[in-house]
Amino acid sequence: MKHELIGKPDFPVVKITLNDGECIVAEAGAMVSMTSNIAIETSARGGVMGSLKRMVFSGESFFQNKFTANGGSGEIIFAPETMGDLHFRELKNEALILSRGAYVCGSPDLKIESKWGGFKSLFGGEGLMFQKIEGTGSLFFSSFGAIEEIVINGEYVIDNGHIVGFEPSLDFSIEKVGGLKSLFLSGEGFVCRFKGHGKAYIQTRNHSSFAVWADGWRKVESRQ
Amino acid sequence: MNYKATLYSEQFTDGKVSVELQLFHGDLLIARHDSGSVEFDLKNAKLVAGGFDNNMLYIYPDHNVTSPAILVQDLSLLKEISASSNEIVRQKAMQATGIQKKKKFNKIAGIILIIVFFSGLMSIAFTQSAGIIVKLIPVKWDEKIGELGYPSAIASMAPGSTKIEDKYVLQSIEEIKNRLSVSLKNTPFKYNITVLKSPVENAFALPGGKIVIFTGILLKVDSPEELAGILAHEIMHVEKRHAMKQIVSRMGLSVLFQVIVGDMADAGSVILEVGSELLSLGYSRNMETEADKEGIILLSNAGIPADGMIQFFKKMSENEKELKSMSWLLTHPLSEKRADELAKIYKKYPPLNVKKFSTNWKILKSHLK
Repeated sequence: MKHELIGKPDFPVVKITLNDGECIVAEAGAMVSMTSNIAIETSARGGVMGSLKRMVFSGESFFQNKFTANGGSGEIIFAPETMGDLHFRELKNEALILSRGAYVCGSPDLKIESKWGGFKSLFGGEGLMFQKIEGTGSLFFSSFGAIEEIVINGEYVIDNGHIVGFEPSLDFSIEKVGGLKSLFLSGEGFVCRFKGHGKAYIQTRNHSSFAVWADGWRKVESRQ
Repeated sequence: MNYKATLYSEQFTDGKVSVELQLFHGDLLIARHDSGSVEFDLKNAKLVAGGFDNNMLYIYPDHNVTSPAILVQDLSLLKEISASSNEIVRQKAMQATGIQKKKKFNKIAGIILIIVFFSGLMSIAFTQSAGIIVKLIPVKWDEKIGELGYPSAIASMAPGSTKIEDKYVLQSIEEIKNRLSVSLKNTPFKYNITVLKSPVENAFALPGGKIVIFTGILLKVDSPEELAGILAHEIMHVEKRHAMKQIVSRMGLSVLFQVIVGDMADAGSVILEVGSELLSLGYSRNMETEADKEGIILLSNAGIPADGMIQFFKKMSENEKELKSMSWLLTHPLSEKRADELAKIYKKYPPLNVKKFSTNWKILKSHLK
């Protein structure tokens, strides 16, 4: 399997070349285009309960698609849901924790599991559940805005809306920035203090801030 | 024992390197990598439980630095350190284990709390929606469940009992039943009564309209009005489809799913399969209260005074010994509150145009002996 990221960093898609018989798993709706020799198989991977958990808690789709190249190599293009970067990481018998909806596509051998982030994540703005992607294989995940890799040694603070993913050797706690005054007035609200050593991925834009900004432009029906 | 671990330090190009750990004398930890080794004196070291799943251990040389650091995933190292002969080292290991266990406990407690919360919501939603779902289920199924449940109900309550064929008894009971069923407006059910010879002091209705009365209870009853009270209550269980509501709320989502998806045949077979077994579970208190109230209204419409029913309750519960032997009362316990409630409802719905029954109950009883 070979891949090429096109259109980085603003509106990237990933072009994957599959050898004969090779396959890749993707979120429902992620496929943009493909050669005609690629067969698609839709299934609730991980069983009904597993898929339900993935859909309800992690914001992914209930069904996932498996694309297989038949009779020669094939080419397929995937795009993430939002405008933002796509990041590739080769997992070698290791795991990565991704926030809600970040997973785009990956090798079929990768195990995807919903993980409870603890009560603290109620305030994290990233939902209660994370996804743990584990195993060996290629993984593509997306962000809102660009993706930056941050190496954490000891401690590091990230705004809750900017977390894309992190290595499981890191743990975080939710805390407020400064005192009560800054909680309400600084515009920062809650942040995540990461502890441990490892890599974290941040996104350069924040969904909720964008939603608030876009809301101002929404057409409002006049009351009569 | 050797443990696989990761050593984090700025001196390595990638910021980290894989190492093999070995514990010496319970307090000296040596981390070996391809190009050398690092020693950690555990007496000064800081041990912290960490990682997203709380299944990792960080070891720092002392409390003030965050580099170099060792990350171990195999927590049996913590166990080995806990067995150290050095008191300080042992306490550090215990502390780290304590924190790790507490964090894990918090996580599990959180999950359980959420599950309990949601299943609570679900069950509330379900009892509320059972009535709506039952409306989608054809009345025929009630009859089918009643038919299927009949043999097992008789077998468990009064095995080997025979049908009473005496004309006077059957006609008298038929008269009461007809007075009641005429007052039911637009009922989809057909009621038919079977009288069985048995000392069992009970009477019950199966979904769909089949009513069974044992001679045991007929001998305890002193007037047609008293029996009418019992029958009115049982009939209302059938009319309000309480059995079906019980089945639906107990079987939960699978029924809802099948009813919505539209495969009635499938849902039907499931309901029939479990339904007859669920019949033995009895009704909820709310259902009993509803049957009481609706029963009295039915009596009122049929011109039968409901004090017969209340009298019967009171008469039976006065004698405690009798109460124990009386299985109908066991499933319909008469608390003072219930008697008061019944009396209150009766006051609200007095019988319209009281008509006496033609039966002489003494003669009826003599026919049963």
